[in-house]
Amino acid sequence: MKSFFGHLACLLAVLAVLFFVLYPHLSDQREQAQQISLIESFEKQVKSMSDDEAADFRAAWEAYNQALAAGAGEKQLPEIETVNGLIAVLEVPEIGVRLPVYPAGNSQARDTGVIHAATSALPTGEKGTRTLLAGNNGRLTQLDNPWIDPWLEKFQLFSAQLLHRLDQVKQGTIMYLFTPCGAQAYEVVETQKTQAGKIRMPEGENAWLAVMTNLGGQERQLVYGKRLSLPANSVVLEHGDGASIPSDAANVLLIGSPVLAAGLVFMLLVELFRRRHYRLPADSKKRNSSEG
Amino acid sequence: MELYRPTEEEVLREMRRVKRKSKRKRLAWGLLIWFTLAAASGWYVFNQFYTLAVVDGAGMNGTLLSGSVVLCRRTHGARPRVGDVILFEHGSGWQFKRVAAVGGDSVALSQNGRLWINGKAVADFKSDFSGYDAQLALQPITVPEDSFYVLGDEYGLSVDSRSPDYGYVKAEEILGVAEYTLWPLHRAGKQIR
Repeated sequence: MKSFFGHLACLLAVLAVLFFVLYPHLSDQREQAQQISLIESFEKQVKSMSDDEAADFRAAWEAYNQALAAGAGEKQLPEIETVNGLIAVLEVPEIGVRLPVYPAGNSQARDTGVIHAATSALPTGEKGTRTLLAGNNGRLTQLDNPWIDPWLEKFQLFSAQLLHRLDQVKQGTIMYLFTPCGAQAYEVVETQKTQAGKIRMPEGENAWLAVMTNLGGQERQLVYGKRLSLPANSVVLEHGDGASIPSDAANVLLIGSPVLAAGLVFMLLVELFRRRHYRLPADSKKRNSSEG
Repeated sequence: MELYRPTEEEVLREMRRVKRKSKRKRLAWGLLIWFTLAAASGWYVFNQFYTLAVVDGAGMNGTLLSGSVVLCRRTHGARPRVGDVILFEHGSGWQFKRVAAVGGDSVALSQNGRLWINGKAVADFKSDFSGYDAQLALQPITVPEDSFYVLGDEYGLSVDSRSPDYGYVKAEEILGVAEYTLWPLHRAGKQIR
Protein backbone atom coordinates (compact mmCIF):
# COMPACT_ATOMS: atom_id res chain seq x y z
CA MET A 1 0.00 0.00 0.00
CA LYS A 2 2.83 2.29 1.00
CA SER A 3 4.59 1.50 -2.25
CA PHE A 4 1.40 2.14 -4.21
CA PHE A 5 1.03 5.65 -2.76
CA GLY A 6 4.73 6.32 -3.36
CA HIS A 7 4.36 5.39 -7.02
CA LEU A 8 1.21 7.44 -7.32
CA ALA A 9 2.92 10.51 -5.80
CA CYS A 10 5.86 10.15 -8.23
CA LEU A 11 3.49 9.81 -11.18
CA LEU A 12 1.51 12.89 -10.13
CA ALA A 13 4.72 14.90 -9.69
CA VAL A 14 5.95 13.91 -13.17
CA LEU A 15 2.54 14.76 -14.67
CA ALA A 16 2.53 18.15 -12.93
CA VAL A 17 6.01 19.01 -14.26
CA LEU A 18 5.04 17.85 -17.75
CA PHE A 19 1.90 19.98 -17.59
CA PHE A 20 3.83 23.14 -16.66
CA VAL A 21 6.48 22.54 -19.31
CA LEU A 22 4.20 21.50 -22.16
CA TYR A 23 1.02 23.47 -21.52
CA PRO A 24 2.03 26.78 -23.16
CA HIS A 25 3.27 24.98 -26.29
CA LEU A 26 0.31 22.63 -26.61
CA SER A 27 -2.17 25.38 -25.89
CA ASP A 28 -0.48 27.65 -28.44
CA GLN A 29 -0.63 24.86 -31.03
CA ARG A 30 -4.34 24.46 -30.34
CA GLU A 31 -4.80 28.21 -30.65
CA GLN A 32 -2.91 28.28 -33.94
CA ALA A 33 -4.98 25.39 -35.25
CA GLN A 34 -8.12 27.43 -34.51
CA GLN A 35 -6.69 30.41 -36.41
CA ILE A 36 -5.53 28.32 -39.32
CA SER A 37 -8.86 28.03 -41.11
CA LEU A 38 -9.19 31.82 -41.06
CA ILE A 39 -5.64 32.31 -42.35
CA GLU A 40 -5.98 29.62 -45.02
CA SER A 41 -9.24 31.01 -46.26
CA PHE A 42 -7.62 34.47 -46.46
CA GLU A 43 -4.68 33.08 -48.44
CA LYS A 44 -6.97 31.12 -50.72
CA GLN A 45 -9.09 34.17 -51.52
CA VAL A 46 -6.00 36.33 -52.11
CA LYS A 47 -4.51 33.77 -54.49
CA SER A 48 -7.74 33.40 -56.42
CA MET A 49 -8.12 37.17 -56.98
CA SER A 50 -8.24 38.17 -60.62
CA ASP A 51 -5.80 40.80 -61.91
CA ASP A 52 -8.57 43.41 -61.92
CA GLU A 53 -9.63 42.62 -58.36
CA ALA A 54 -6.04 42.83 -57.18
CA ALA A 55 -5.61 46.19 -58.95
CA ASP A 56 -8.79 47.55 -57.33
CA PHE A 57 -7.58 46.40 -53.95
CA ARG A 58 -4.22 48.06 -54.39
CA ALA A 59 -5.89 51.29 -55.54
CA ALA A 60 -8.10 51.34 -52.41
CA TRP A 61 -5.11 50.84 -50.11
CA GLU A 62 -3.07 53.48 -51.93
CA ALA A 63 -5.98 55.92 -51.53
CA TYR A 64 -5.93 55.24 -47.79
CA ASN A 65 -2.19 55.89 -47.64
CA GLN A 66 -2.54 59.08 -49.67
CA ALA A 67 -5.27 60.35 -47.34
CA LEU A 68 -3.00 59.57 -44.40
CA ALA A 69 -0.08 61.38 -46.00
CA ALA A 70 -2.34 64.39 -46.65
CA GLY A 71 -2.89 64.63 -42.90
CA ALA A 72 -6.40 63.17 -42.64
CA GLY A 73 -7.45 62.37 -39.08
CA GLU A 74 -8.42 58.88 -37.99
CA LYS A 75 -12.11 59.60 -38.54
CA GLN A 76 -11.63 61.06 -42.01
CA LEU A 77 -9.71 58.07 -43.32
CA PRO A 78 -11.53 55.82 -45.82
CA GLU A 79 -12.71 52.43 -44.63
CA ILE A 80 -10.04 49.75 -45.01
CA GLU A 81 -10.70 47.08 -47.64
CA THR A 82 -10.23 43.61 -46.11
CA VAL A 83 -10.32 40.02 -47.27
CA ASN A 84 -12.35 37.84 -44.94
CA GLY A 85 -11.98 40.49 -42.24
CA LEU A 86 -8.17 40.45 -42.42
CA ILE A 87 -5.67 42.75 -44.04
CA ALA A 88 -2.67 40.44 -43.91
CA VAL A 89 -0.92 37.53 -42.22
CA LEU A 90 2.23 38.25 -40.23
CA GLU A 91 4.88 35.53 -40.07
CA VAL A 92 8.11 35.60 -38.07
CA PRO A 93 9.43 32.02 -38.36
CA GLU A 94 12.31 32.58 -35.96
CA ILE A 95 9.93 33.03 -33.01
CA GLY A 96 7.14 30.79 -34.33
CA VAL A 97 4.70 33.63 -35.06
CA ARG A 98 1.99 33.26 -37.69
CA LEU A 99 -0.86 35.57 -36.88
CA PRO A 100 -3.75 37.23 -38.69
CA VAL A 101 -3.59 41.03 -39.00
CA TYR A 102 -6.91 42.78 -38.36
CA PRO A 103 -7.80 46.39 -39.08
CA ALA A 104 -7.94 48.69 -36.06
CA GLY A 105 -11.09 48.51 -34.00
CA ASN A 106 -11.65 44.78 -34.37
CA SER A 107 -12.73 43.50 -30.97
CA GLN A 108 -11.48 39.91 -31.26
CA ALA A 109 -8.09 40.91 -32.67
CA ARG A 110 -6.54 41.68 -29.29
CA ASP A 111 -6.76 38.05 -28.15
CA THR A 112 -6.15 36.24 -31.40
CA GLY A 113 -3.87 38.27 -33.64
CA VAL A 114 -2.30 41.66 -34.28
CA ILE A 115 -3.89 44.98 -35.14
CA HIS A 116 -2.90 47.47 -37.80
CA ALA A 117 -2.52 50.93 -36.26
CA ALA A 118 -5.01 53.13 -38.11
CA THR A 119 -2.65 56.11 -38.22
CA SER A 120 0.06 54.14 -40.03
CA ALA A 121 0.14 53.23 -43.72
CA LEU A 122 -1.38 50.06 -45.12
CA PRO A 123 1.36 47.65 -46.26
CA THR A 124 1.29 48.08 -50.02
CA GLY A 125 5.05 47.58 -50.10
CA GLU A 126 5.56 50.92 -51.85
CA LYS A 127 8.57 53.02 -50.93
CA GLY A 128 7.89 55.47 -48.14
CA THR A 129 5.10 53.42 -46.48
CA ARG A 130 5.47 52.91 -42.73
CA THR A 131 3.22 50.30 -41.21
CA LEU A 132 2.79 49.71 -37.49
CA LEU A 133 1.32 46.45 -36.21
CA ALA A 134 0.60 45.92 -32.53
CA GLY A 135 -0.22 42.75 -30.64
CA ASN A 136 -0.54 41.42 -27.13
CA ASN A 137 2.36 39.87 -25.28
CA GLY A 138 0.52 36.55 -25.01
CA ARG A 139 -2.93 35.77 -23.68
CA LEU A 140 -2.94 34.41 -20.16
CA THR A 141 -5.09 31.41 -19.33
CA GLN A 142 -8.14 32.50 -17.34
CA LEU A 143 -10.28 29.93 -15.55
CA ASP A 144 -12.38 32.57 -13.73
CA ASN A 145 -11.29 31.04 -10.46
CA PRO A 146 -9.93 33.50 -7.85
CA TRP A 147 -7.65 30.80 -6.38
CA ILE A 148 -6.14 29.39 -9.56
CA ASP A 149 -5.93 32.45 -11.85
CA PRO A 150 -3.21 34.29 -9.82
CA TRP A 151 -1.07 31.14 -10.01
CA LEU A 152 -1.55 30.84 -13.74
CA GLU A 153 -0.43 34.46 -14.06
CA LYS A 154 2.54 33.89 -11.74
CA PHE A 155 3.75 30.94 -13.82
CA GLN A 156 3.00 32.83 -17.06
CA LEU A 157 0.83 30.03 -18.42
CA PHE A 158 -0.26 31.50 -21.74
CA SER A 159 -3.08 29.93 -23.67
CA ALA A 160 -1.80 31.80 -26.77
CA GLN A 161 1.74 33.10 -27.04
CA LEU A 162 1.00 35.81 -29.66
CA LEU A 163 4.03 38.19 -29.62
CA HIS A 164 5.41 36.84 -26.35
CA ARG A 165 8.85 36.17 -27.85
CA LEU A 166 9.18 39.41 -29.78
CA ASP A 167 12.05 40.48 -27.54
CA GLN A 168 14.06 37.52 -28.89
CA VAL A 169 14.02 38.90 -32.43
CA LYS A 170 17.48 40.02 -33.49
CA GLN A 171 18.83 42.19 -36.27
CA GLY A 172 18.85 40.30 -39.56
CA THR A 173 15.70 38.29 -38.76
CA ILE A 174 13.27 38.16 -41.65
CA MET A 175 9.59 38.94 -41.07
CA TYR A 176 7.00 38.15 -43.73
CA LEU A 177 3.75 39.89 -44.43
CA PHE A 178 1.26 38.21 -46.78
CA THR A 179 -1.15 40.82 -48.09
CA PRO A 180 -3.57 41.15 -50.99
CA CYS A 181 -0.91 43.44 -52.52
CA GLY A 182 1.60 40.59 -52.60
CA ALA A 183 3.97 38.84 -50.20
CA GLN A 184 6.56 41.08 -48.60
CA ALA A 185 9.73 40.31 -46.66
CA TYR A 186 11.22 42.70 -44.10
CA GLU A 187 14.67 42.43 -42.58
CA VAL A 188 14.88 43.55 -38.97
CA VAL A 189 17.35 46.42 -38.69
CA GLU A 190 16.59 47.65 -35.20
CA THR A 191 14.94 46.43 -32.00
CA GLN A 192 14.21 48.61 -29.00
CA LYS A 193 12.33 48.91 -25.73
CA THR A 194 10.59 52.21 -25.34
CA GLN A 195 7.76 53.98 -23.54
CA ALA A 196 4.26 54.19 -24.98
CA GLY A 197 4.50 57.91 -25.68
CA LYS A 198 7.87 57.75 -27.36
CA ILE A 199 7.15 55.45 -30.30
CA ARG A 200 8.62 56.76 -33.53
CA MET A 201 8.63 55.44 -37.06
CA PRO A 202 11.88 55.19 -39.05
CA GLU A 203 12.85 57.76 -41.63
CA GLY A 204 14.02 57.04 -45.16
CA GLU A 205 12.66 56.05 -48.52
CA ASN A 206 12.24 52.34 -47.87
CA ALA A 207 9.03 50.60 -47.01
CA TRP A 208 9.07 49.95 -43.26
CA LEU A 209 7.24 47.58 -40.96
CA ALA A 210 7.24 48.05 -37.19
CA VAL A 211 5.86 45.36 -34.90
CA MET A 212 5.08 46.29 -31.31
CA THR A 213 4.01 44.49 -28.16
CA ASN A 214 3.17 45.56 -24.65
CA LEU A 215 5.68 44.50 -21.98
CA GLY A 216 3.50 45.69 -19.11
CA GLY A 217 2.69 49.20 -17.93
CA GLN A 218 3.95 51.81 -20.38
CA GLU A 219 6.87 49.72 -21.65
CA ARG A 220 6.76 48.58 -25.28
CA GLN A 221 8.95 46.26 -27.34
CA LEU A 222 9.44 47.30 -30.96
CA VAL A 223 11.16 45.76 -33.95
CA TYR A 224 11.71 47.70 -37.15
CA GLY A 225 12.01 45.93 -40.48
CA LYS A 226 13.14 47.28 -43.83
CA ARG A 227 11.52 45.79 -46.94
CA LEU A 228 13.51 43.35 -49.06
CA SER A 229 12.43 42.77 -52.61
CA LEU A 230 13.66 40.71 -55.51
CA PRO A 231 15.97 40.77 -57.34
CA ALA A 232 18.02 43.38 -55.45
CA ASN A 233 17.93 41.50 -52.14
CA SER A 234 18.14 38.01 -53.59
CA VAL A 235 21.26 37.16 -51.55
CA VAL A 236 19.51 37.91 -48.24
CA LEU A 237 16.27 36.23 -49.28
CA GLU A 238 18.00 33.13 -50.56
CA HIS A 239 19.72 32.80 -47.22
CA GLY A 240 16.32 32.50 -45.57
CA ASP A 241 14.78 30.33 -48.25
CA GLY A 242 16.15 26.90 -47.57
CA ALA A 243 15.75 23.68 -45.67
CA SER A 244 17.72 21.76 -43.12
CA ILE A 245 18.03 18.07 -42.45
CA PRO A 246 17.49 17.02 -38.84
CA SER A 247 20.06 14.82 -37.16
CA ASP A 248 20.16 11.09 -37.90
CA ALA A 249 19.07 10.52 -34.31
CA ALA A 250 15.84 12.49 -34.89
CA ASN A 251 15.16 10.57 -38.09
CA VAL A 252 15.81 7.23 -36.44
CA LEU A 253 13.59 8.14 -33.50
CA LEU A 254 10.72 9.26 -35.67
CA ILE A 255 10.80 6.36 -38.08
CA GLY A 256 11.71 3.85 -35.36
CA SER A 257 8.85 4.89 -33.06
CA PRO A 258 6.09 3.02 -34.93
CA VAL A 259 8.25 -0.12 -34.89
CA LEU A 260 8.76 0.32 -31.16
CA ALA A 261 5.05 0.83 -30.55
CA ALA A 262 4.21 -2.28 -32.61
CA GLY A 263 6.77 -4.24 -30.59
CA LEU A 264 5.27 -3.15 -27.29
CA VAL A 265 1.79 -4.18 -28.42
CA PHE A 266 3.20 -7.55 -29.51
CA MET A 267 4.88 -8.02 -26.12
CA LEU A 268 1.62 -7.23 -24.36
CA LEU A 269 -0.20 -9.82 -26.43
CA VAL A 270 2.47 -12.43 -25.66
CA GLU A 271 2.15 -11.63 -21.96
CA LEU A 272 -1.63 -12.04 -22.07
CA PHE A 273 -1.27 -15.32 -23.92
CA ARG A 274 1.22 -16.68 -21.35
CA ARG A 275 -1.01 -15.81 -18.45
CA ARG A 276 -3.66 -18.15 -19.82
CA HIS A 277 -1.35 -21.14 -19.76
CA TYR A 278 0.57 -20.49 -16.58
CA ARG A 279 -1.55 -20.54 -13.47
CA LEU A 280 -0.63 -20.73 -9.84
CA PRO A 281 -2.07 -23.66 -7.84
CA ALA A 282 -4.20 -21.16 -5.95
CA ASP A 283 -5.68 -19.86 -9.18
CA SER A 284 -6.51 -23.42 -10.28
CA LYS A 285 -8.06 -24.08 -6.89
CA LYS A 286 -10.26 -21.02 -7.16
CA ARG A 287 -11.23 -22.01 -10.66
CA ASN A 288 -12.09 -25.56 -9.62
CA SER A 289 -14.12 -24.37 -6.66
CA SER A 290 -16.04 -21.88 -8.80
CA GLU A 291 -16.67 -24.60 -11.40
CA GLY A 292 -17.73 -27.05 -8.68
CA MET B 1 16.61 -30.68 14.02
CA GLU B 2 13.13 -29.89 12.96
CA LEU B 3 12.64 -29.09 9.28
CA TYR B 4 10.69 -25.90 8.68
CA ARG B 5 7.65 -26.55 6.61
CA PRO B 6 6.20 -23.44 5.05
CA THR B 7 2.50 -23.05 4.97
CA GLU B 8 0.66 -23.21 1.72
CA GLU B 9 0.16 -19.44 1.81
CA GLU B 10 3.91 -18.85 2.20
CA VAL B 11 4.65 -21.14 -0.74
CA LEU B 12 2.16 -19.31 -2.87
CA ARG B 13 3.61 -15.93 -1.89
CA GLU B 14 7.08 -17.13 -2.84
CA MET B 15 5.84 -18.49 -6.14
CA ARG B 16 4.17 -15.17 -6.88
CA ARG B 17 7.40 -13.33 -6.10
CA VAL B 18 9.36 -15.59 -8.46
CA LYS B 19 6.73 -15.17 -11.11
CA ARG B 20 6.83 -11.37 -10.79
CA LYS B 21 10.63 -11.38 -10.98
CA SER B 22 10.70 -13.51 -14.08
CA LYS B 23 8.02 -11.35 -15.65
CA ARG B 24 10.06 -8.20 -15.01
CA LYS B 25 13.17 -9.84 -16.42
CA ARG B 26 11.31 -10.85 -19.56
CA LEU B 27 9.91 -7.33 -19.88
CA ALA B 28 13.36 -5.73 -19.53
CA TRP B 29 14.87 -8.03 -22.14
CA GLY B 30 11.91 -7.59 -24.42
CA LEU B 31 12.14 -3.80 -24.19
CA LEU B 32 15.86 -3.86 -24.87
CA ILE B 33 15.41 -6.07 -27.91
CA TRP B 34 12.57 -3.97 -29.29
CA PHE B 35 14.40 -0.70 -28.70
CA THR B 36 17.37 -2.09 -30.59
CA LEU B 37 15.20 -3.43 -33.39
CA ALA B 38 13.27 -0.17 -33.65
CA ALA B 39 16.42 1.94 -33.80
CA ALA B 40 18.03 -0.39 -36.34
CA SER B 41 14.98 -0.55 -38.60
CA GLY B 42 14.46 3.21 -38.23
CA TRP B 43 18.01 3.84 -39.27
CA TYR B 44 17.70 1.41 -42.20
CA VAL B 45 14.40 2.83 -43.46
CA PHE B 46 15.69 6.38 -43.02
CA ASN B 47 18.83 5.69 -44.99
CA GLN B 48 17.25 3.67 -47.73
CA PHE B 49 13.91 5.23 -48.49
CA TYR B 50 13.17 8.43 -46.64
CA THR B 51 14.61 11.48 -45.03
CA LEU B 52 13.17 14.32 -43.01
CA ALA B 53 13.75 17.98 -43.71
CA VAL B 54 12.76 21.21 -41.99
CA VAL B 55 11.57 24.13 -44.14
CA ASP B 56 13.25 27.44 -43.51
CA GLY B 57 11.87 30.61 -45.12
CA ALA B 58 8.78 31.58 -47.06
CA GLY B 59 9.79 30.68 -50.62
CA MET B 60 7.34 27.75 -50.65
CA ASN B 61 4.64 29.43 -48.57
CA GLY B 62 1.18 28.10 -49.19
CA THR B 63 2.50 24.59 -49.66
CA LEU B 64 5.26 24.39 -47.05
CA LEU B 65 5.27 26.77 -44.12
CA SER B 66 8.52 27.84 -42.56
CA GLY B 67 9.37 25.47 -39.71
CA SER B 68 7.39 22.54 -41.16
CA VAL B 69 8.90 19.08 -40.89
CA VAL B 70 8.53 17.25 -44.19
CA LEU B 71 8.90 13.57 -45.01
CA CYS B 72 10.81 13.17 -48.29
CA ARG B 73 11.12 10.04 -50.37
CA ARG B 74 14.58 9.47 -51.75
CA THR B 75 14.57 9.33 -55.53
CA HIS B 76 17.60 7.06 -56.03
CA GLY B 77 18.18 8.59 -59.44
CA ALA B 78 14.54 8.49 -60.60
CA ARG B 79 13.52 11.69 -62.37
CA PRO B 80 10.95 13.86 -60.62
CA ARG B 81 7.97 15.01 -62.68
CA VAL B 82 6.74 18.51 -63.39
CA GLY B 83 4.77 19.69 -60.34
CA ASP B 84 6.74 17.64 -57.80
CA VAL B 85 8.18 19.49 -54.82
CA ILE B 86 11.81 18.43 -54.58
CA LEU B 87 14.49 18.65 -51.91
CA PHE B 88 17.90 19.31 -53.37
CA GLU B 89 21.33 20.54 -52.50
CA HIS B 90 21.97 24.08 -53.61
CA GLY B 91 25.14 26.00 -52.87
CA SER B 92 26.03 25.27 -49.30
CA GLY B 93 22.55 24.26 -48.14
CA TRP B 94 19.32 22.46 -48.97
CA GLN B 95 16.20 23.83 -50.59
CA PHE B 96 12.64 22.92 -51.47
CA LYS B 97 11.24 24.08 -54.80
CA ARG B 98 8.63 22.94 -57.28
CA VAL B 99 9.71 21.49 -60.61
CA ALA B 100 8.29 23.76 -63.31
CA ALA B 101 10.03 22.23 -66.31
CA VAL B 102 12.42 19.38 -67.05
CA GLY B 103 15.29 18.93 -69.51
CA GLY B 104 14.30 19.69 -73.09
CA ASP B 105 11.28 21.86 -72.15
CA SER B 106 11.01 25.41 -73.40
CA VAL B 107 10.31 28.01 -70.69
CA ALA B 108 9.26 31.64 -71.00
CA LEU B 109 8.04 34.23 -68.54
CA SER B 110 5.82 36.93 -69.94
CA GLN B 111 5.77 40.47 -68.65
CA ASN B 112 2.36 39.99 -67.07
CA GLY B 113 3.86 37.35 -64.82
CA ARG B 114 2.63 34.24 -66.65
CA LEU B 115 4.79 31.19 -67.12
CA TRP B 116 4.82 29.45 -70.47
CA ILE B 117 6.11 25.92 -70.85
CA ASN B 118 6.43 24.43 -74.32
CA GLY B 119 4.22 27.23 -75.64
CA LYS B 120 1.37 26.69 -73.15
CA ALA B 121 0.54 29.07 -70.32
CA VAL B 122 0.54 27.34 -66.95
CA ALA B 123 -2.62 28.48 -65.18
CA ASP B 124 -1.44 27.91 -61.61
CA PHE B 125 1.81 29.76 -62.07
CA LYS B 126 1.19 33.43 -61.58
CA SER B 127 3.87 35.83 -60.53
CA ASP B 128 3.45 39.07 -58.68
CA PHE B 129 5.93 41.06 -60.77
CA SER B 130 8.70 40.63 -58.26
CA GLY B 131 11.33 42.18 -60.46
CA TYR B 132 12.77 39.02 -61.89
CA ASP B 133 9.96 38.77 -64.35
CA ALA B 134 10.57 42.19 -65.80
CA GLN B 135 14.24 41.24 -66.17
CA LEU B 136 13.54 37.81 -67.54
CA ALA B 137 10.80 38.58 -69.99
CA LEU B 138 13.06 37.08 -72.54
CA GLN B 139 12.93 34.79 -75.50
CA PRO B 140 12.00 31.24 -74.46
CA ILE B 141 14.88 29.26 -73.01
CA THR B 142 15.38 25.53 -73.31
CA VAL B 143 16.16 23.63 -70.12
CA PRO B 144 19.35 21.56 -70.56
CA GLU B 145 19.11 17.76 -70.38
CA ASP B 146 19.38 16.27 -66.86
CA SER B 147 18.47 19.64 -65.41
CA PHE B 148 15.31 21.02 -63.82
CA TYR B 149 13.80 24.50 -63.88
CA VAL B 150 12.46 25.11 -60.37
CA LEU B 151 10.23 27.78 -58.82
CA GLY B 152 9.10 28.55 -55.30
CA ASP B 153 5.35 28.77 -54.75
CA GLU B 154 5.63 32.28 -53.31
CA TYR B 155 7.00 34.05 -56.35
CA GLY B 156 7.48 37.40 -54.67
CA LEU B 157 9.86 35.91 -52.11
CA SER B 158 11.40 32.89 -53.79
CA VAL B 159 14.91 32.95 -55.17
CA ASP B 160 14.79 30.30 -57.89
CA SER B 161 15.56 29.43 -61.52
CA ARG B 162 14.21 32.78 -62.66
CA SER B 163 17.44 34.28 -61.39
CA PRO B 164 20.38 33.82 -63.77
CA ASP B 165 22.70 33.46 -60.76
CA TYR B 166 20.62 30.59 -59.41
CA GLY B 167 20.36 28.59 -62.60
CA TYR B 168 18.98 25.08 -62.97
CA VAL B 169 18.98 22.17 -60.55
CA LYS B 170 20.99 19.21 -61.79
CA ALA B 171 19.66 15.67 -61.45
CA GLU B 172 22.52 14.60 -59.18
CA GLU B 173 21.73 17.43 -56.74
CA ILE B 174 18.24 16.08 -56.02
CA LEU B 175 17.89 14.37 -52.68
CA GLY B 176 14.22 13.47 -52.68
CA VAL B 177 10.62 14.34 -53.38
CA ALA B 178 8.53 15.92 -50.62
CA GLU B 179 5.69 13.55 -49.72
CA TYR B 180 3.96 14.49 -46.46
CA THR B 181 4.01 17.26 -43.89
CA LEU B 182 4.57 15.89 -40.38
CA TRP B 183 4.65 19.16 -38.42
CA PRO B 184 2.92 21.52 -37.50
CA LEU B 185 0.18 19.43 -35.95
CA HIS B 186 -2.64 21.03 -37.90
CA ARG B 187 -0.96 20.00 -41.16
CA ALA B 188 0.32 16.61 -40.02
CA GLY B 189 -0.29 13.91 -42.60
CA LYS B 190 -1.14 16.35 -45.38
CA GLN B 191 0.07 15.14 -48.74
CA ILE B 192 2.24 17.63 -50.57
CA ARG B 193 1.01 18.42 -54.08
